[in-house]
Amino acid sequence: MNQPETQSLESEAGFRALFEYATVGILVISSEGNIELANPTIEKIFGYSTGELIGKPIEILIPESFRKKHVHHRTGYFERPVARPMGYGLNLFARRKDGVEFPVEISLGSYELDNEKLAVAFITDITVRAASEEKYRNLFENSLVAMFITDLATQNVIDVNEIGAQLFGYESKEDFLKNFKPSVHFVYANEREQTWQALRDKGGEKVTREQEMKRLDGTHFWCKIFVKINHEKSTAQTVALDITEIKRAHEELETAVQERTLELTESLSREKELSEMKSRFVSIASHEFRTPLAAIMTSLALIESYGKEGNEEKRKKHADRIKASVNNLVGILNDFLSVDKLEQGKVEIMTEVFDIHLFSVDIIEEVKGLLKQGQRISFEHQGKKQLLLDRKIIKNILLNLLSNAIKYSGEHKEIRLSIEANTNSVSIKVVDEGIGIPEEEQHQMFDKFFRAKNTDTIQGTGLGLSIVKKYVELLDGSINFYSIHNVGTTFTVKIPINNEL
Amino acid sequence: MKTILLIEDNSDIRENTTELLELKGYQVISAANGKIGLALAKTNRPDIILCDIFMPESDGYEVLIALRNDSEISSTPFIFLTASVEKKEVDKAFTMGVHGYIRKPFEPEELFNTIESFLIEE
Repeated sequence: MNQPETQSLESEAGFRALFEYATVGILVISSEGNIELANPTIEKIFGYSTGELIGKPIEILIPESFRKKHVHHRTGYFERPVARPMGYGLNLFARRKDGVEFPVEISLGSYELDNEKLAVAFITDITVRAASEEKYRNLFENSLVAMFITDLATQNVIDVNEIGAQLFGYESKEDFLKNFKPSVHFVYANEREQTWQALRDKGGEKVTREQEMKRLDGTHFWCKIFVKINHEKSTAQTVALDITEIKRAHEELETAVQERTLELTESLSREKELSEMKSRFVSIASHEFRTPLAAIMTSLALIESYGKEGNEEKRKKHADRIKASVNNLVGILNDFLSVDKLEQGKVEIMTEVFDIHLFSVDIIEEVKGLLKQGQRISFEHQGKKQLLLDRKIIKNILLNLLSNAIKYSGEHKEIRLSIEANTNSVSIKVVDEGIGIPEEEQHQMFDKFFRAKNTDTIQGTGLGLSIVKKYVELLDGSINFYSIHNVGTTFTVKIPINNEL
Repeated sequence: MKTILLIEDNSDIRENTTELLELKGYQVISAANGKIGLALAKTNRPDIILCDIFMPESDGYEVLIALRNDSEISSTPFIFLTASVEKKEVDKAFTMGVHGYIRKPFEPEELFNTIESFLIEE
């Protein structure tokens, strides 16, 4: 079978087509430096007409300032011709017929024909690309954020802008590129490897990190970095922001928010406590007020009935009962008011010198009306009589402790009040033989509204002892008790006396 | 003469209520706690019982339950006389079978009317 006429690329016609239509400019040069062939693209980019370049020295395409050097390079190339790009790492320029110079990219190759060495040059006009690279360069150099280019193979920083150099405390870009060592600047050495690992995991997509770093002078700063791999150039591009201030502001804000939240929580719990106290007040006031009010109403009705009969003695009994009931109501009210005043810090201490002995006798007289059948109060006093104290507060403490002792003791029981005073302090002791405080509830005795289980059927607001404790604390004193369930209780109050007047 | 048993720990209320009822012509026997009240109810067979709720030695509820379980007294009108006015307390009382519920403070008229309404029913 006959082969058909070959139409392969290797035919001369194929090469001719490649040569004619290639968008890259192709030149063939003799060892003497004369142009042997130039394709239409060469003629177009250099501004020559068809065939005009043939036989001309190659140097007419080169800017005048490079011509001499080029002759030297050219001669060298023909001695050891290899295929390579020309002027590696340099910006090459060519010269058009009209004298205008423009950037080019050139690759070289060579071949021999009839024992003559020929060089082939492939030339691309890169005016457009160079302009965009220049723009990019400007962006990089003049950026207001720090930028770094790292070589992927060596992981060395190969480029940096001025801001980037300053960020790490270098004098200039040159200083940075010469002296930068990662180990000096990473607080945690493994963070650098973590970034590379993250980049590998994400296939070179953007990785963002916040890390603490060190400047050249050893000072620390917080840095936010954005790293992305440029696969084409085998580099990593890093943008770095100094976020120390932002981070500090953020932390301050965070602290402020936490403090504010705490304040709010505290104020809310105060609100809650207040609201609980209000509802407790309503419930207790409702219950505690009803019994004396019932006594008042029935006594009033009875006074009316006895009025008609003129029974003086019975009328007086009910008038007294009304008075006692009203006092009872006033007492409950005062307790609530005292709590409020004490809690708002509105109680002022007003000291005066008075006779504690006479004072105590008066108070005992005052509480005698509360005594149950057969109950009695004994009193003993030792030491100083004239004391400098807040009369009202001491009275309140004594009234509370004594009325409690009466209330929680049965008939025919004894209540003992003893006072011992010296120049520095006064100690008040109230002992009863009452129902006592169950041991498991003793730790709650001074809590507001708390009432021990064994007082269920005895009226009370649960405020008295909490008030006493607050008063004692106001006077820098202390209060303690010792109690046995169903045996009795002893309260001891100790108050310092300030003699500096 | 109708007999009223009054069980009340507060001496003022106990004495005043007794006086009011006696002036009205009732015979009153009174007790200062639930335990005594229960004993008096069994021995004296009153026509009506007035009882406080919160008292030492058997509270009002305990007295009520004990009397409901005593067939001889279980039908005697039983009225609470109390300072507890919360709805849950009132509901509990009626669930347990109390006949009447008087809230303190009370007008004497309210007391008399309640008592009379139960005595007439008899």
